[in-house]
Amino acid sequence: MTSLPLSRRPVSAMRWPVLGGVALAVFLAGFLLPGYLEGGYLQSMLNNGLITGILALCVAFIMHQCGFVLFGIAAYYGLAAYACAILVNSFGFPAMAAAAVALLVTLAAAFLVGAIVIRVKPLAFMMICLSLAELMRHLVALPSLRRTTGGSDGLLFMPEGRVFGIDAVDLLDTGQVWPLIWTATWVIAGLFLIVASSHFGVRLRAIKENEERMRFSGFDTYWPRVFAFAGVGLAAGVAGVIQALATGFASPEMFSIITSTNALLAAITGGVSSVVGPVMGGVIYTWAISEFGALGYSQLFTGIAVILVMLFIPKGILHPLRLLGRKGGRA
Amino acid sequence: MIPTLILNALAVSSLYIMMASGLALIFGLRRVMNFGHGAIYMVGAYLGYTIASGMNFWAALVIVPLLMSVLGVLLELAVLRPLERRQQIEVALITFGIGIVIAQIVIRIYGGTPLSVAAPPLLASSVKIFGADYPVYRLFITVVGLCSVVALAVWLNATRTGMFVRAVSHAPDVSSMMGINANRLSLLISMLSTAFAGLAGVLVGPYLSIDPGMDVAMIITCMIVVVIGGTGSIWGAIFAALILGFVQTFGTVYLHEISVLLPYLMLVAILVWRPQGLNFGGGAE
Repeated sequence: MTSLPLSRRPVSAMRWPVLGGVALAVFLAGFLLPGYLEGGYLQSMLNNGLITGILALCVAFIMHQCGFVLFGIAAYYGLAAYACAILVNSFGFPAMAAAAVALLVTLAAAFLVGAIVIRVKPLAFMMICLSLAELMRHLVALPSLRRTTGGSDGLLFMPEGRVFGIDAVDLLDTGQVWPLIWTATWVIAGLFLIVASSHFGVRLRAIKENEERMRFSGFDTYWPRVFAFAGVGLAAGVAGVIQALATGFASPEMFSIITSTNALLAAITGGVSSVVGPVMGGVIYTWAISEFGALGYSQLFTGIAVILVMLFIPKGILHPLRLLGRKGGRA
Repeated sequence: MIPTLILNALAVSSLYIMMASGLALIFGLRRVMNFGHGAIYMVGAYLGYTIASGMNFWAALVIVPLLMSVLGVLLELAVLRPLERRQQIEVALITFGIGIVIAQIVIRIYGGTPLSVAAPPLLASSVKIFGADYPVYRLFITVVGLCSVVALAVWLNATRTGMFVRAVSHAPDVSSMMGINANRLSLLISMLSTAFAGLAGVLVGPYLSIDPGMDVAMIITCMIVVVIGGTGSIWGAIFAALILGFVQTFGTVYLHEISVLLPYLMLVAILVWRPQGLNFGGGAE
């Protein structure tokens, strides 16, 4: 399957129906996967891979549409997971309500943060987002909040009730949570595509190109980016809530720099202008990290991968291939 | 109580100043935020541990900054110079990756357990200040920190090379047209920056402990300092480091565990007030 571009570009009339058909077929076929994998290592790796993939989609979206490097996506991912776990444990919420309220909390937090960080320069943006993820990691590990957040051990929780018709207890099974993860990935990717090709997306990219020009032309350049940031935070929150429900656990490690780095790596490698690339990147990096992690080299791998990716393919793995293709005569 | 706290705050601030001013200097000259700065500090601390236990602390204090300035040469020649034309954020991420790799190598060599270095006998005692016993070693850190800031200030403001550094930071194009060799200056600044980080690493050994998470903790602190101070503004960074040291020290006593959150809250508060950071004294950007 070719990558679906986030930016609008001319396509032949035949391309969309074909692409749409292929996408629908892949989407439907995905639901059959647990039957073949029967739980096991590959299934759990795919689950984690798509979760990282969703985070990568978020990073890619904000990078492509707003030109910001969101190096701290872990803050919203972890926040949603913790909010969900705390609502279940301390307030006795059923699973679905906890998930919904956790997402609202994450959306509100992302909105507030967005309102502050959108005003700063790109490099400072990157450093502040990273610092805020660290803030969250320290906050949940505070000893005095131990009864609520579980301190540095993380927070175990056992939700009750149903989530989209699936019993919350069954979500702990890697095969049963798959449809939820699979659907969420598609919905988020689809929404990002729709937003990107909408008037709103065009405006975001115009602001990215030249903020001053847009301001002079009478466009508001602040709120659209805040909304985009909030939306991306919400999408990362969806990944966090699903991950929390799938493991019955929220841990301070969800906020770690490594979580953010892997999402960023997956986004950049896959190509920020595509939606398929970041998701594939998420799966591949999750696989590679679990392979290297078995040897105790997962962080070393991440470090080396960051260097190599930024040195050789800062525009994504498909970029050099496309250039080759162009040189090959397609113009 | 209060005088002791002020002295403690000055000791912590001195470490932050040594780190943040090095970061701001490189940024001023190369427009590169070195995310590997924390890892360089970590290498300094672990090398300091080895040399202090093999020879003595004073040797470490001299040898480590020298060794680290060699690392600075490597940083300049192998990373900053070849990547001169790359985007700011790409280079920042590459230095971040290098930082992770360096930290992992250090952890491979020294293991994951925290280490501690004994203060040298000369500094291991304590003196009476305002009626309270105060460890000499912390005063020593403050003195070294203050001396290095004063030396830096004199160098930047009173020497020809210092003037060139300020010129390149202020207007890279014009100063290169005037015949200033930015590459040679950048080499010098990289060496200075890593040597300062190494010095901070050696100094931190007997004061706090040396542990595998120290690089991330320090780089996050440095980033907060640099952003609060206004990216690239050396005096802003030094001032922010001073404030942060005080806020943290007083916070630990009066607010207890909440104090770990204070630097972040301070960052957010200042950015709401001034999105460009404090940024006085003419920032680089």
